Amino acid sequence: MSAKIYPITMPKWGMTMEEGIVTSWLVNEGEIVNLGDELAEIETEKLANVVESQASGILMRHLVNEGDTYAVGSLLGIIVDGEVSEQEISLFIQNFSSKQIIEKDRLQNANSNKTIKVGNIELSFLELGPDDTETQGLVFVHGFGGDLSSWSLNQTGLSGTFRTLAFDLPGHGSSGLQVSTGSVTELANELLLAIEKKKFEPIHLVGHSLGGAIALMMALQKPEFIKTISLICPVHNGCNVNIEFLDGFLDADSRKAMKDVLGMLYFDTKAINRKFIDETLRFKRFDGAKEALLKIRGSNFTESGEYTGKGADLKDIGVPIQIINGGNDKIVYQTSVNDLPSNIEVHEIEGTGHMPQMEQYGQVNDLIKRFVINNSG
Amino acid sequence: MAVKSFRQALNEAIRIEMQRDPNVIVFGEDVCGGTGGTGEQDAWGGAFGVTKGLLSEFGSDRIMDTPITESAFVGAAVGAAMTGMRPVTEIMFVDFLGVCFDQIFNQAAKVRYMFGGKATVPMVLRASYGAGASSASQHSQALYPLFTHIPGLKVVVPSNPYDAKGLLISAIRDDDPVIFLEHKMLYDIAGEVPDEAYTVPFGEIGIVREGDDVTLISIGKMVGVCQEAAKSLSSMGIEAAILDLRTTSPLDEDTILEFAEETGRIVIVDEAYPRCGIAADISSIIAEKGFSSLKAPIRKITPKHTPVPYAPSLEKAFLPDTERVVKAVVEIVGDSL
Repeated sequence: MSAKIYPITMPKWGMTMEEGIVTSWLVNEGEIVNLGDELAEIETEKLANVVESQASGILMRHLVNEGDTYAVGSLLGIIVDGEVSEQEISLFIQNFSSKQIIEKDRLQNANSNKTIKVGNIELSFLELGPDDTETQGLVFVHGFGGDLSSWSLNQTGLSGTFRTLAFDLPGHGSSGLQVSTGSVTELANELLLAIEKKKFEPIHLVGHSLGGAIALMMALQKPEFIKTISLICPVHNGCNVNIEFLDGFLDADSRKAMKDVLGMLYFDTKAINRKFIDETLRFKRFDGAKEALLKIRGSNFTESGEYTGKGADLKDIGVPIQIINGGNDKIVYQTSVNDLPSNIEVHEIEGTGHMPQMEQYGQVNDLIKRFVINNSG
Repeated sequence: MAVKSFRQALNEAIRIEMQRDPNVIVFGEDVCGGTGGTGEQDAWGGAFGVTKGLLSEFGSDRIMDTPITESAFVGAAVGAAMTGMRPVTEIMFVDFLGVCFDQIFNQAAKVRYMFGGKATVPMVLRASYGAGASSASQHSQALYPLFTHIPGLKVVVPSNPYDAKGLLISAIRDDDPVIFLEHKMLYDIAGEVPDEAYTVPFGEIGIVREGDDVTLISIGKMVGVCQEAAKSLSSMGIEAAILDLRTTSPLDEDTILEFAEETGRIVIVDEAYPRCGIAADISSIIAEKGFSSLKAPIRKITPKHTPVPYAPSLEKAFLPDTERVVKAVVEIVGDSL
């Protein structure tokens, strides 16, 4: 096998990320790395996370300093697999700059949110990945109070393998706020219409939290569209949701209150920074945003937080389902594994709260990828 | 998102609130422009063009020109507000409010308190402020400290188009009298402003930039000066946080003290006169409640205690600029990084 040089680049975690700080290298020059190893810690305006190795070999070069800021796509270091001369490495680095600019353009073009109109509402969405219908399609459905950026680490991670599509739910993110009753049925139907209009089906669904209940409802409405469902900390029949979060989120109108509420979502509350808090508050301060959320809350949960939406009974769904739970989820109180139908795969990810798709995105991406591929035969 | 000017953002806020609430009315000097004279209707939109187009949309029952008597029409705004209207009154220059201090200080600010909450004064007084246009001493002052001094008034000074729209919507919906000051050099700056209605709350500082080494606290046009300074400082290896007060009353003390604790170094950049001003006020708050966080003396960058000069060269020397901010920061950061 001939020797290969692999770039380590500044990742793009989410739509608004333009640059990141390399806070520390986790692997020294000259050390052996394997695919998936953690290489460096990166901090962005919104979050801190690690870059995982996309290759196996020897980390030959750190090309950037700890503590400095670099644009998305910048070359941070080099991994070499096999015998490579210094000259070849220098040439690789020289040639990289031009590629980097092209890559940046591609990401910028791909990452502008678009909207699609279904009924009387505009839904905002982000589509990433190949543009051919042969490839399996993934659709991401976020939870209550979130938006499609909850999937930024998964969409960027999985769009190399799959077509991916994430929506802002009605009443969330940049989508319209015209929610009629806010029931899971209404939300599921709007997403199905949008998917059909985009001719994106058949699809594999990935639903988080209340988005899980919506995914189940979508499968109930259009079983022919849906090939598999991956549920992350899902809400479904028999679940209770922490009302301190649900109502706390609706009430929070100051940075301090919002920080406390958002802190419940994560295992490590350091994931919450001021920018994230400000953006959440900014969304809630649009006229009609809180009212839309109140409708969704009222239609689907009792006062004490019990889920009352219809059609989210795991037993009623014919397609393969896997559940990925956070080891320390403080938001959704899951039914005991023993009460679930035996054909459902359940995974629990340690060191995560209610947001495993962000907190341990690598593991979650692997689980989704494997499940989709295994069930695409 | 659409890019709009500061002026457009303000116009949109008034328009949205006039559409939403029939009690919102607008009056001031030349806010319609040309009415009663030979001029074209709705031609001018006030001295700075903010209210242009409102006459055509809402008619003369809801927007009207007043005589050049601030004392009379500001008094009328107080009375209208007490009867349930929501007047948005425009004063060309904040400097002219001197002739209606009684209406503002003793009436508008005191009514809710003295009537035990049985009457409220939901009025907004918009005015331009600030130096930089060589408009001389009587048209260039940054007088928000005067109003901040009076309990019962809320005082708003936006620095960018997004905040200008959200803060003005909050001001119009507020049940208390709000003094809303617009820097005359900011009307043409542009920024992203959503078309929809949204609020920016009072008493919540805008966090413009994060940085570990020093906190620049500023307001209105000075926020831009601090942003420029932060860029220069960053190239020198000093990372400055920037806070935008947005409202001086209510004042977000918590965020000020939080950043004092995080960075330990404070530079306050303000365009108002130095004596009994916002910079002095904030400095005293930090000295009283956050002294133990400080690694260096608090620095205030303000004009000298003089009238605003007319000569452009002197006016430039009067105003705090990037150079002065950078110099002050470098002095207090020194070799300690």
